[in-house]
Amino acid sequence: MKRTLLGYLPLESPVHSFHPIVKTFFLLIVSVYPLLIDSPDWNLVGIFVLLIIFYLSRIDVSILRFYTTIMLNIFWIIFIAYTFFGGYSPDYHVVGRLGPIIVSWENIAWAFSVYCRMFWGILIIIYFLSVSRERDIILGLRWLRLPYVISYTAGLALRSIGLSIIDFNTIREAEKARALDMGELPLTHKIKKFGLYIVPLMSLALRRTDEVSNALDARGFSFAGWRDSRRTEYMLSKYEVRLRDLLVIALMVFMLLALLYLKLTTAVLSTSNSLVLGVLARALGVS
Amino acid sequence: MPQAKSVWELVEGEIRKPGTVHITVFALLIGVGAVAGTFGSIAIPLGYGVTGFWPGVAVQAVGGIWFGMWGVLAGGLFPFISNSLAGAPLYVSVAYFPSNFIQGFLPAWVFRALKLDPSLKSSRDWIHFIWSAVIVNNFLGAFWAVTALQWFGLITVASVPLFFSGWVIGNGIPSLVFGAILLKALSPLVVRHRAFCKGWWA
Repeated sequence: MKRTLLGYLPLESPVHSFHPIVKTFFLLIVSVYPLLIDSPDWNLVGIFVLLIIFYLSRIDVSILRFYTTIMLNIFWIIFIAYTFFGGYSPDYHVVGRLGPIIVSWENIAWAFSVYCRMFWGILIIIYFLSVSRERDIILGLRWLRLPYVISYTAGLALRSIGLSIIDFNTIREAEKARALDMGELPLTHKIKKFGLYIVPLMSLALRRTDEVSNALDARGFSFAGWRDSRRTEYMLSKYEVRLRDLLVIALMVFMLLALLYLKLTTAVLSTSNSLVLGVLARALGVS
Repeated sequence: MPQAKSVWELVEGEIRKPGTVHITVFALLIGVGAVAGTFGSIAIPLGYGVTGFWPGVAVQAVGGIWFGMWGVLAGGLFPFISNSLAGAPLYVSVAYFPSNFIQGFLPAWVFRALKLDPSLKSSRDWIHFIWSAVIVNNFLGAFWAVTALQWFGLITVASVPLFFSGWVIGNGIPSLVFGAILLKALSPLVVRHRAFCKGWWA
């Protein structure tokens, strides 16, 4: 197993055989797809295809259960916001009334479309975090020939997240050792206790700042030297861009251009001809 | 050594330049903010990364006050990580960047322009902290955020008050409580640290 940003990925996963830049392009390019698609039909197709990719990548899909609460919260927020606060026009099809609030089909349809778009966008992020390691992000930035200071800082920032989580858990364990039972506290107390962790977290970050910057200075790093792009790329030399990496990137770019073309010149990606919405409308008795 | 009248003034002979310590504190602030931000986004989520309680804003405001543009930029970037871990799509995080930037920039600018003490010693320091780091910065951030959400069609005009108030309250309370605690507790230590920025970059 290899540790990724969100969990572990089996060594047999075919994702490991791709160049890290493919993962970087995946995040940057595929994240835009849901933005271009209004039709829930195509967003659901995207979700289905991505779940197949999850399976082929051998990602443990149980990771998705951690996002169940978030997905449900988002569903309710979208549903309530659009259904009860979506506005009303006389040509809307009224599905029901709740006192002064009119529930219309058009608002329900738009809420469903927005949720499908959000769901796909969130799955894309979860997939990226499930297959990427800190090294992949850094190598992606280095391959793009960004200045060394940017890739180094990105790597240090990603690593510091893990360090901060360790510090956070250490502080929690210290409080448990002092007989603080978080499970018994009311929500407001829990929030207050969690928030007070920020002070020791910041203190530890400041101490670590001294240690890291002293280590960098001791190795002769200087601020001006970090702009030199002619560094020996040892880690990058261990990865080779192959034909299949280029094909995958080309496919992603082609899909993006195709979606842009369809969005700008046709109504294929709009909600007007959606089969799913048609089924939903019939189920709600909307003609 | 001659003493400066305020923590923001250089003493005679003092030279400050950006260095490795600032790059490091920028990177480590992203880590601290990401942890603080992720917790809040998961604790009381409202959707699209908007949360009813977000401690990360305290890191944004305080980071900007202490570390100038390094803190402001860190405050603008760590929400990419915390929002992603909390389940917001990448384009939503990109859209929120101006909001997160202003939430750190405004208090940083006010404290430097008015030569306020980061340790919040006087009532003048408190008043300017409250309006710049608790109220106005979050109002501006919320204004931009709901505008961006509308552009993407993720919320309707009628639901703007819900998300706007969620953002303002969810950011304002942590910013007031945790921001004040951080400034009171750690400013005496930070202003003597070489990473402390009397200017914007050093």
